[in-house]
Amino acid sequence: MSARAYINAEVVKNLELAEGAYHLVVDAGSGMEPARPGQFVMVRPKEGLDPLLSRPFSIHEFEPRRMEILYRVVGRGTGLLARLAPGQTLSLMGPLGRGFDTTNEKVLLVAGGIGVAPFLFLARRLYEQGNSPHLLFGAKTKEELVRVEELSEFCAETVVVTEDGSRGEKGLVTEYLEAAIAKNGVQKVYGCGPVPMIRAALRIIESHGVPFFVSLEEVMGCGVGVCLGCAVPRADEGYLHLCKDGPVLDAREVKW
Amino acid sequence: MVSLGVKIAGLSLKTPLMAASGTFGYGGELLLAVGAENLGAIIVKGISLLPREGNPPPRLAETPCGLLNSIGLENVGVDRFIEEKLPFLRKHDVPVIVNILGDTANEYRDLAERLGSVDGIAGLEVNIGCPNVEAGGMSFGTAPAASALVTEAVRSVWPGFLMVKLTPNVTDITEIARAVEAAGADCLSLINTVRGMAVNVDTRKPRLKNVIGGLSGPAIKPIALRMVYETWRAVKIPVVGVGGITSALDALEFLIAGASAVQVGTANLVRPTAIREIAQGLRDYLASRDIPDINDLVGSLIL
Ligand SMILES: Cc1cc2nc3c(=O)[nH]c(=O)nc-3n(C[C@H](O)[C@H](O)[C@H](O)COP(=O)(O)OP(=O)(O)OC[C@H]3O[C@@H](n4cnc5c(N)ncnc54)[C@H](O)[C@@H]3O)c2cc1C
Ligand SMILES: Cc1cc2nc3c(=O)[nH]c(=O)nc-3n(C[C@H](O)[C@H](O)[C@H](O)COP(=O)(O)O)c2cc1C
Ligand code: FES
Repeated sequence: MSARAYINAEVVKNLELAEGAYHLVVDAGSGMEPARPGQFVMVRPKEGLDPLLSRPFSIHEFEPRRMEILYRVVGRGTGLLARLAPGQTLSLMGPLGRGFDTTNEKVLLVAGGIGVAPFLFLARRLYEQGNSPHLLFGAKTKEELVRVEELSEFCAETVVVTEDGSRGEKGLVTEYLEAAIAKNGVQKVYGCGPVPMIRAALRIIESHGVPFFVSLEEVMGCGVGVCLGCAVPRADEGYLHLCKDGPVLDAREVKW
Repeated sequence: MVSLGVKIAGLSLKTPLMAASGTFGYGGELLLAVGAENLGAIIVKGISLLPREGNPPPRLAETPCGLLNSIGLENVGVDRFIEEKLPFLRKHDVPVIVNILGDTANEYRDLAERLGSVDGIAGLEVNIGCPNVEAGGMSFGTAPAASALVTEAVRSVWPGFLMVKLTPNVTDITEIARAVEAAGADCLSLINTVRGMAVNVDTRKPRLKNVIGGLSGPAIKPIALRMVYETWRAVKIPVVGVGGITSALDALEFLIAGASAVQVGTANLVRPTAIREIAQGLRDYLASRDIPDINDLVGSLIL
């Protein structure tokens, strides 16, 4: 089937990595088309009409049949997701949207908290192309630096920053961004994390004249471009629609 | 073999299931997922004379069994619709109904005239739930006279299939329905979304940037059903039921309560294949009860 239909997938693993942060692995069977890094899936944790809508999540890692997401529990839908045990099923639709460009340039990944989700798949793809990226990963505490071990295997260099200084540098990622760009001759930056982090990062990255692509979030209805719910203001006028035009967007195209 | 075909005001549909405006895009995205054989008609996203940007985000908020939206009638405008969207739709064997909206009765008329000059449009659905700019922004569809005015304006230039879509945000929908019928509509569709609101108690902000939006989905189904029933009893022209239909059983309730056909909206967002599944459910229902023709059920409510 095409990406325009939900399929059932069996939960293989659904593990709490840190308080409220989960790693979900599903067996999507042969029904899911191959994904590209940066694409997303719509996930329905339970049958029925409440909750009514599916929830969007970045694809954390993908191999034929096996699809992974990394998520934080923030409300009803993610709460229901967290209760799923191996062997149970959920339904999902995807891969959807446009992912990251994986041309061979010197890439820096900037992640904040659970925003690291799309970067494992991306880092592995870049690594396999012989173009291991640099990673700058910030979180509140060392516990929240989820999946950093797995990620750093595919990265040329990993710098971690925690707000409480419990691991790596102390402070905010943006304080270490300048150095990461300059030192490594970075040609492109990919970001994912809280909007204030992205905003602050954009100012620094722009001053270096380096392109910055970000994976954004907005409430989604359909995930396939029919409801126009997922509007993101364009820098000039009008709106982009995150599920079709994104979720990875050129930061300069967006009104911040 | 059971028959799902219906005929409304001269328009033949393969099934009584239309895709509701604003929930199926311009058709391209979901038509293939549903299959042309399951679709009675596609009603495209509301079109205005000029493109509209729509409202700032967040535009959506989920509520129990419901969805609040404040898309703000974002659309590409009639010219781009004709140039970019219609050619794809024309290629498929599904009637295309264009949902139109405007700020003034003249705008509705000009739109209908422009759409009348091109091929491939089976009919119009007039959304009268929009603010009437010349009357202080009150919705056309809340006053019988303004509802009739818009209907007459479109009728004066559009001889074909004309469906007028009623808003539920009124005291007595039968009064509006009768005014629109007298003004020349071929049929009525109802309901549009129910005005609603939601608040985030952490931030104390409205969950929609626009504060107020339109509620759709299963939460509004009993309201829609009641209004379809009341309207069906009040007018002679056919009524098309809309609101909260997500299953064949939901669709059957509307048909039994008087609807000649139905529209499926929010369910398309929940599952792009919803209309295909509902069509199959209707076939199964008829077959299992030895009812040969879906039309036998229309208005069959036993009191
Ligand atoms: C393309 C995309 C990729 C995403 N990838 C991930 C991911 O990899 N990991 C992850 O943990 N989360 C991700 N999200 C966010 C995730 O979709 C939301 O956290 C989730 O929908 C919340 O559902 P809920 O029912 O638990 O919360 P709700 O009860 O619906 O809401 C709880 C809170 O979350 C906010 N919220 C609701 N929906 C969204 C949304 N779509 N985006 C941001 N905030 C929202 C609400 O405003 C509210 O404050 C992604 C979002 C998008 C659009
Ligand atoms: C996201 C969204 C966009 C909509 N856009 C339009 C529109 O452009 N014109 C219109 O007449 N109705 C529009 N509607 C209303 C639907 O066509 C339908 O009347 C309503 O949602 C109730 O049906 P439902 O519960 O099956 O969704 C929209 C509804 C939704 C959810
Ligand atoms: S979520 Fe429906 S258009 Fe993007």
